[in-house]
Amino acid sequence: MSAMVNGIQVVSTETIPGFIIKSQLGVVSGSTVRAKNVVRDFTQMLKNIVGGELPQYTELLVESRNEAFTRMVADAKARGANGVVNLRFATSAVSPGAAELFCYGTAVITE
Amino acid sequence: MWSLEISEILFYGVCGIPLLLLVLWGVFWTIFGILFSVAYPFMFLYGALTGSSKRKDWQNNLIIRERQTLNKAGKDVLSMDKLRRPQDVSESNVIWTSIVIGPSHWEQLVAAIYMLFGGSIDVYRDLIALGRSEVFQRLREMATDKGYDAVIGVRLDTSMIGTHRGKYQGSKGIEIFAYGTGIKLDSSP
Repeated sequence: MSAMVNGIQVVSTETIPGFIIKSQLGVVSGSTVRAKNVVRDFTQMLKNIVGGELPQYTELLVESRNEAFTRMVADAKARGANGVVNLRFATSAVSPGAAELFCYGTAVITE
Repeated sequence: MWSLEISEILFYGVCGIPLLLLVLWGVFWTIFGILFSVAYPFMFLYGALTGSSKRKDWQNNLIIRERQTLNKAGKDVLSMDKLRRPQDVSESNVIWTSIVIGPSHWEQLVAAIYMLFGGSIDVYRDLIALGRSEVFQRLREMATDKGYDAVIGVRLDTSMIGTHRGKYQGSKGIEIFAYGTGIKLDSSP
């Protein structure tokens, strides 16, 4: 048995180990644009003077990636897929203070 | 002889609140400005003086944790390879982790001076190298915590976040992000 996210198995490799890919349903993607709030920005600015890790930003980005990932899985599910292979993540700073987090992969039907 | 008309009451009632807010806003920023200009040199010095020793502590801590996971798993769980024997796998799923680190203002200053002459900028290199090791270690720990035997197809992604209000102000963060496919191998022979 496989651990599944909403009934969809997601891997970052070309094949899902132990399964045969029957057909592919194209590229699915999910994205989110997030900005930090003012208070967090301020505290992290102060932390930045001293240096080191900025834990609030780490937390925020992980949250945002979860959201983008959930959207991608919903997209794959809408296409009737039961797996996503070749998952990739991308990050871009669309404007100062906001970042776009994007993930994409190939939706497949496996058996 | 004057009489307070209803329109005047409305005017002071409605405009009084934004005016009060404006005054409070001004007071807040004045106090903040004074506090910040007093505290900033100390924070700067603190970052400059404790930066290298903190980094050394972080590095030592990282080495200890790497050794722990190595002893626990018996081998390095991460690899960029594809899987050799697919039939052994009982479970596979994607896992990811990230870290955001920022160079302190002291290091930014040192780097700015180095940038005048060009060449290798060691303060940034050390920080980013340490961040990469940390994020790999977090991926290892995450994989062993979730019970995966190996992580295949590991990829790294580095991006710059949170530069705003011009080049030299605001916070500067470097995000290092790693993801891969965790697999569980069949233990039954």
